[in-house]
Formats: sequence, structure tokens, C-alpha cells
Amino acid sequence: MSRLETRKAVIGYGDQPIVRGVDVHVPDGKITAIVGPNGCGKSTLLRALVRLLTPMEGSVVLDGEDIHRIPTKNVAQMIGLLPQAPIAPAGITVKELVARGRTPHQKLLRPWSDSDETAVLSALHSTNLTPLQESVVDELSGGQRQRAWIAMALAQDTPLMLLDEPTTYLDISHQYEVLDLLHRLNERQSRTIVMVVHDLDQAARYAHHVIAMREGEVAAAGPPAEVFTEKIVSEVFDIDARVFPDPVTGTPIVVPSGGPGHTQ
Amino acid sequence: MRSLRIGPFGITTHRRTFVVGLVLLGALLSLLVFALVVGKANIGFLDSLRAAIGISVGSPGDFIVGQVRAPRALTTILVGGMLGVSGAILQSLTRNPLASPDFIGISAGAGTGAVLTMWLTSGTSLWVTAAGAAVGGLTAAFLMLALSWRRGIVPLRLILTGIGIGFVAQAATQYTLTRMDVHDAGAALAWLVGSTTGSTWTHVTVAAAVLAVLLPIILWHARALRTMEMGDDTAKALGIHVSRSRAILAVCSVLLAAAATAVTGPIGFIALVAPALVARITRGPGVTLIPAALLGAVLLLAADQASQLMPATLQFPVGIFTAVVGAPYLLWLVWRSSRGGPV
Repeated sequence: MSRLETRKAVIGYGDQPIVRGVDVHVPDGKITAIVGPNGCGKSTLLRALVRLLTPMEGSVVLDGEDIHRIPTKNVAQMIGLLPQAPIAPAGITVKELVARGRTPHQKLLRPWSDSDETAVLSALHSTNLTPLQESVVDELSGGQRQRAWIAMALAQDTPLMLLDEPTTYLDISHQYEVLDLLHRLNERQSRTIVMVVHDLDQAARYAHHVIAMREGEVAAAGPPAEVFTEKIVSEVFDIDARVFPDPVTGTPIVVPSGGPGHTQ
Repeated sequence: MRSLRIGPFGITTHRRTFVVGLVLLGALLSLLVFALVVGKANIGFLDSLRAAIGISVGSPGDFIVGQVRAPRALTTILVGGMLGVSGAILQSLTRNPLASPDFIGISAGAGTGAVLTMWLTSGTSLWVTAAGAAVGGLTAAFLMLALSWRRGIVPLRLILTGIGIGFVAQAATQYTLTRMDVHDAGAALAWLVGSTTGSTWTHVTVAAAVLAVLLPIILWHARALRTMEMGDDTAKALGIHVSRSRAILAVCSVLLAAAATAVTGPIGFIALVAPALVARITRGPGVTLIPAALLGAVLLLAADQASQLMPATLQFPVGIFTAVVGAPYLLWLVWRSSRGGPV
């Protein structure tokens, strides 16, 4: 089943199509990874899925309805987003930032309810940020800051969470910290997660469903074992690669063949 | 989140921001009493207050307090508040402390609109002048957007364009002055200096009416404003109508600055300083509109009182006074940014 999907969606900026007529399904309750070379339209697709971009043709459909026909506040109660470059207001504390995730649930004259407070505390707890809740976001480490933003999206309390490169700019330990967090959120709270990632091995380890894109089209979609084959990886990324089972998890890992100086 | 509940309504606010707001309100009320009671004529403390709320205390108190001090103080408070809110909105929308209506040509555009209106109508009605100022301010804002638009808005380009438009607007104002007859030109010149001297209840009414219409609209979008500070994508994902809220808030900000300009003439630096100073004092995240309004009012009323207390030969209009006090702040901002700090 999938609540969120695209139907022959052509998506782009101005009159430049970047994604050319794709049909994408986001399986409910699973982690979906969107992978592909730079400029293939991964982030463009993600932005359209969360209605930041309107398809030039075709549509993005949420629960059977065109997402742009649903009031934006209602969409915000169903889909949360971690953008690529969010801006933390100067001096904001972790808890205040997380509280802003409650925006779509608030009403004008009754801004803060007990359920808001509960959602914020639980988001802080899930991201292990409870001890840091009074810290100023600007002063956190990169990994902590990313967790704070994820906590904000969590407090939004949406069944679907979309993340645009949640691990980029983080060191390896913080990358896995974020991925483990997403894994827990999916396992324990059965949230549907869609993430754009660059690292294929991480996508293979953490995702149930992989969408591989190339030049604005979906080159392959399915479970990691079906998508990360030597044939598909070399087609999508223009690179000769060998695929082995990950010695720890058994999921595919992609190793460029040819050695230094000869990867292409 | 520290929140505050008053009756059925909840106000989510930073506790420190709330305390700062209360302190500013106290300061404003004290200054108001001072403005009503202290002056060249000695009316007496209680008589001044009675006269201010319309209880007759006989001559000359009724006139001096009821027709001179009270309307002047209230006009000053309202204009200061309007400038504070206007600046807070612009600075928040552009994420740049240099964006204030007096700095980016909006007040200058409103000034041109007002002077043109004075010329065409011989300055008969403040309401008409205010409408002219609104048209001038909106025109300046529209030109600024149109000229700085290159597939989006970069705040610095917007501000530099605004400064340029300000110069053009001032030239247009000067030219209009040369076309006016001497009497009207004199009145317009006195107005252009930025002064609360001679404020009447009509000035109070115009300022209060504009605030009464715009402030609820602005507060309605205050949450959108704070959310947009996290970037358009985040705000949209949180269910904010970003383009619509931004347009409404920008127009409200321009109209506030234009109306303030129509009422007292251009008064500089309040819109620049008040929101930035509030952010510094509250140390809270994001824009705080009501404290910015209160501080704008406090600053302008204090400046107005200070300029009145000067010896007669040194008295100058409050617009000049705020420039004398505000210019060093601007220089400090520039100095700090040149040393690598955030502008």
C-alpha cells in the first residue's frame, strides 16, 4: 500500500523539467531511499513529494487526492520534512526549535496544548536530546543539530517523514547515529520514511525500498537486493562496480572495480 | 516551551520576552505621565492627569494638556510603535538588520507621496496625505522588488536597491517643493524634518485607525513570520502559506511606515534600532512584534521629551534627535560587520 505516489510527474524549476514523467510509490511503513548521481532529480522529486514544487505535468497524490488540492495545513499534519539546509533562528534553544514542529497543529487563540507538550517531549526523548533541550542550537555539534531538526520534524507528528540528505556533512559516526534513529522511528513508531542519500551501502543497509534515478527518470525501484546489482549500478552511476554481500548485514555493498585511477 | 495562559487564551511566549514586554510597558506609561505633567507651563500633577482624560480643570490646563501635550504624546507613542513593528517585520522577512523602512527608501517614497499630495491638495486633510504617503511607500516598495528581482530576492541587493530608490524619492520630493507656493512649501519642509510638534487629535486618530486595522492582520500572521525565519522550505512543510503571508506582512509593514511618515514626517532610526535592540534584550529566538512596538514607542517618546527639555535655542525636532542618536548605532553595525560579525 502506498499513501504517497506520483503519477507521470514532470517536475522542474521554471520551464526546465528535471524529473521527466515518473511514477513513484512510497510504500507505507517502510524506509525508502532515493539514490542517483548528482543532478539526477532526487531532491527535486523529494521536494515535489512534499508539495514544495508543483509538477508541470502529472501529479503527486496523497491518499488518492492531488496533494495541491489538499489544504497545506492538512498536508503538514501528514508529511514532515527535513530540508537540506534549514535555518535555525539565532539564539533558539533545542526545545523551542522542536516546538515549532507543532505549527500545523496549533490554532490561533489556543497556541499551546498538552498534546503539543507531549509531542515535543516525546520527540526530544526519541532523539536523545532531553538533556540538551535548553541548549542553543547554534552551539551544538553537527550531529546534535541534525538530531534537533529531526526532532522538530518528529514533533510535527506525521505518519510520513521526508528527509533531504540527512547524513550529508556528518562524519561517519554521526551518519550512522542519524540512520539508526530513522530505523528506530520506522520500527517502533511505524513511520514511513523517505530519504535522499548518497551512500549506496547505507541505502542498502537501512532502506526497504530503493528508488534509483538517472537523468530525471526512475532507472530501477525495488528492494535493495534487486536494485543494487552490478548491471544497474554501472548503468545508473556510470561506474564499473562489483557488488558483494555486506559481511555484517548481508545487504549489498558496492565496490568500484578497476582500482585507483581506473574506476570509470 | 514556556507558555502563559490567560483565561481561555494561551500565549506562547518566551518568559524573558514577556518580562521585557512588561518592563517596556511600565517604562512607556511612566514616560507618558511625564510627558503629560512636565512642560513649560506648570499645570500640576493631578490636574494634568485629569485634563488628559478629559476632566475639565479650567484654563490653561484644559488646552495645554488636553490639546497639546496629550495628542502629542499619544501621536509619538503610536508612531514609535508603528515604526518598531514595521522595522521588525522587514528585518525578519529579509533576515537582515539593515532592512528598515527609513533605510531602504520606503519612508522616503512615502515622503514623496505625502508631499505630492500636499502640493495637489494644499495639505487640507491628514487622511488624504496619509493615503498619498501609502501610495508613495507602496510604489517605492514595488520598484524595489521589481528592480532587485533576479529569479528571487537577495536581501543585500534589495537593500542597496532600496537605498537607491530612497535617493530618487528624495530628489522627487525636493523637486516637488520647488513647484509649491511658498506657504505650502514651508509647511511641507517643516513636516519633512520629522516632528511631533503641533500634533492634534486628528494625528492621533489617523495613527490609531491605521494601527487598529493593520495590527490584527499582522499578529494573525506573526506565527507565519516566525516560521519563515527557518527558511521557506521548512515553513511550507509546516503548513504555512509562505508567499501569501510574506506579501501580506510586507504590505502591512510598508503601510505602517507610510502612515507613520504621513503623521509626523519621516523619522529615522526608530524602525532600525527598536527591533534589533529588542532581540538583543530578550535574547529570544525570532521576531517579537509587541516588544518591538513598545520599545519603538518608548524610544520615540523619550527622544521627543529629551528634545523638548533642551534649552530653547538648542531644541530641534524629534526626527533630528533620533538621527543623532541612531546614526552611531548604524555605524556600529557596519563596524561590527566589517570585523566579520553578523550584519
